[in-house]
Amino acid sequence: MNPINTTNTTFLRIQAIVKADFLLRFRRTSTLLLFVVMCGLAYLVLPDPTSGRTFMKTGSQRVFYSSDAVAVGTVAQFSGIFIALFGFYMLGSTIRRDVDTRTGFVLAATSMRSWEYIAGKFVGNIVFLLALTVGYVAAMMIMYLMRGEEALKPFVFLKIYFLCSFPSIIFVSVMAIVFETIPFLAGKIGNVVYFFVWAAIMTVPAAMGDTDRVRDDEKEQKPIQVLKNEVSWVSYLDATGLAYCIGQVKEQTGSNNFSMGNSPFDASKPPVYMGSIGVPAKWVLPRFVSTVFAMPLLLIALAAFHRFDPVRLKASARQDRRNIIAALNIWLKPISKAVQSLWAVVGVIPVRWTFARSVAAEALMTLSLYPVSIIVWIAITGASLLTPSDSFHGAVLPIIFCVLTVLLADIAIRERSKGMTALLFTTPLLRIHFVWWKFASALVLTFVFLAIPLCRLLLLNVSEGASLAIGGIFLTACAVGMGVMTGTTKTFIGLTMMFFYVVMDSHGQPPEFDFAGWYGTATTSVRGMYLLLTSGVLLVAQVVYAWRLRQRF
Amino acid sequence: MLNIQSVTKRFASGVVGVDALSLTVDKGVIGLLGPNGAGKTTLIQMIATVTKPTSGSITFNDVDVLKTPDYMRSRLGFLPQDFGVYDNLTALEFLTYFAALKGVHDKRRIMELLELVNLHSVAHRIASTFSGGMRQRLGIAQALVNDPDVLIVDEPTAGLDPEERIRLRNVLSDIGGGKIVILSTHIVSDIEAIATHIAVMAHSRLLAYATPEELLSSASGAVWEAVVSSEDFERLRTTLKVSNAVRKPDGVHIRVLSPERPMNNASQAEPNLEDAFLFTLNYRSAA
Repeated sequence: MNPINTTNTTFLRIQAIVKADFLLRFRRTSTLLLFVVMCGLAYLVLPDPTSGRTFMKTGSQRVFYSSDAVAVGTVAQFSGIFIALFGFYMLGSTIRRDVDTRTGFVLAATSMRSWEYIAGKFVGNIVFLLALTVGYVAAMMIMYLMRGEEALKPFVFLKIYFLCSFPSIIFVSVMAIVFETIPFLAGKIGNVVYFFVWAAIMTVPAAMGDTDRVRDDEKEQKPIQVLKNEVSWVSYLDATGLAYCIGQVKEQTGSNNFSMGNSPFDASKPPVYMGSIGVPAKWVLPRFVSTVFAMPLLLIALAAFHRFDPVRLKASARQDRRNIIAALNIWLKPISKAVQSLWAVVGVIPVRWTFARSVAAEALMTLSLYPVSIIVWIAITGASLLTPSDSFHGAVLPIIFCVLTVLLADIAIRERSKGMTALLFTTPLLRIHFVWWKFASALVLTFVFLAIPLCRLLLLNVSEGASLAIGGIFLTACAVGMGVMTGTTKTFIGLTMMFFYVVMDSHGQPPEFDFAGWYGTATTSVRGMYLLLTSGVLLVAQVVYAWRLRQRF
Repeated sequence: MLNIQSVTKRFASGVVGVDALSLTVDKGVIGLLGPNGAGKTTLIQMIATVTKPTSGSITFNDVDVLKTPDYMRSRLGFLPQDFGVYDNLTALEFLTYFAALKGVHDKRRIMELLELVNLHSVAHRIASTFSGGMRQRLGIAQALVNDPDVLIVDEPTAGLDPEERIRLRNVLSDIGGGKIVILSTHIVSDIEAIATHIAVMAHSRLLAYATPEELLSSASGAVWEAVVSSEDFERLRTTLKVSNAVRKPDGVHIRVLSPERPMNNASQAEPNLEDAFLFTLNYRSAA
């Protein structure tokens, strides 16, 4: 064999990590699907104005479809929701992958520095999200070619998307690593905690940065020159770019009364033309600080990084088990004995009803695994019986659905994550009917939690009760479907929390958002729509599962 | 030369993984033998600089590995236990990745290694579709990519079929010359033909460190053969250290480890490495 030369340069090592992460991510079928979804998203975000809908309006007037307007009107949703929220869940657990494959031990035995590894993962995250952004901007420009009302200015799109999305990409890339290296934030709890971090970073700069907010009755009368549109200190934390976009739109339209997002407009009024969107001097520093303010958190990640030391890995696992819910589960383990007595129910089911026995066993297994859920069930039952009607709808029902989200999140991936799939497949019927088995057992749990609220609603109003039941079925199908398709709890928790946020923010208007009768506005067609969506999710999950089964077993 | 002096690893739980172990290792294939839980993996992880000992010292070529881990790391090839591969990388990409992390950017070297481990024909296949043996061979290739002076492989034959085990053994034997190769296993046949030295560990301690011949001679006179009835065998195997038993028409042929003649009809037998290992485990205290 030839003698070898080694060159240990930081750049080449970081490049290797970035390249490996890029290849791993871009060869996943899910990434391909993501690009398809993004193209669909671009189609929905930029509606044809002849359809009576627009992407942005001031008052009831639509905005003229220029490159500046379209870019600034669509980037906030993309960087604020797609990158800042979904991006976190899409980045996945790249350090965990090195632990699970035990390649981390090999990495630890090389002269690679810990900071080089963290830097490689960080840049890898940036590259992935940047590639998604480039894909989305391309899709948006194609949509603009179809629907724009003047010539395409590609550099305008690139400039505005860069200004808003890049800080968002940096922020999410940092947070993904920080959350993964800090043991108690690395699991399901971290996924939920991040949602609140996102909600804060998305809404606070936009809300507090709105320094010239005026009362509703003043909105129409306020002359353009009075709008100060000053840059607030919170705009320095505007990672999603929402405050910047709002500021720019306000400056261009001279109005506080505008909305971004697909919505109807008054076609009888002429469109409002927005001028060129730039980076005024007062916004340069806030945009720069918004880009870099999260980066020092990488030092925390570096300090918390275990460098695959088995002792620190074990300590991390112990610390992970010390998170509040895990600690409560351990503390409340004796309660599982109460569930043990319910196992007799499984014995009562005739042997020939194998599937029903498996469903009951799986539901009981979940309750045994999470004894804290029994305490929560008691609390929910009490609250469902005692709270007044207003609080029951607006507070108790959302809390029950949040609890169910956490409880059901890992039900479809439990065996996969513990390497027990092959063992499971030796049980009659479960190999073929895995999706339906998981769905049925999750549904049992859902209705255990919804039983009392459902009875209360049915006594008050049958249609609201039906909405609640259908909402429960829909949530269960999503938990199982997304678990089967993604193999992680992140997607389900992230999407569901955001959906709940939108639902609660909408207060049941339009009725399409009242998926579980929280606001009593759901109609029969809305209920039908959610049943249809439930069927769709389960069908797709079954197809994906069957395809994987054929590939792997 | 690798010098391990009074190395102890105590975990936070209070469990001692390795207890005051001293060992000096020179070039050759060192078989690290011991039952599960003996402390082999912990010792290996300390040598590989993955984890630090609680006390003691490890030096390589008189350089303190604990103070200067990079000295060891740049001369080390490591294949951990249950080594896995990434889902969507080909064998070539996988090896190129580890080569880059070890500072090797010579594509010829990577292809040569794939040839050495007989994976060159599947270099562009996704590594996660490989069999267990192929994955282990890929693991060996990544461990060798920087032409290490010290190669450490932890339980490399676990889960492999007999044919793959022989193939892997041959690869390790071929590359053993001029390097320190530490091969951890609990299966004696894995190292029988290739080890120049054998270290036996049990209960976190080193019981013996010797050449195979020395280990065999230590069990000389302590291995006995006898033919017993099935009923006697059931009784004897609970009271004696039976290293092997084969049922034949005339009864059960047993090999027994005992410093003294265990029964009247027992005759002395030549010890093999398995006998010597079991004898060391059962009749020797820490070295």
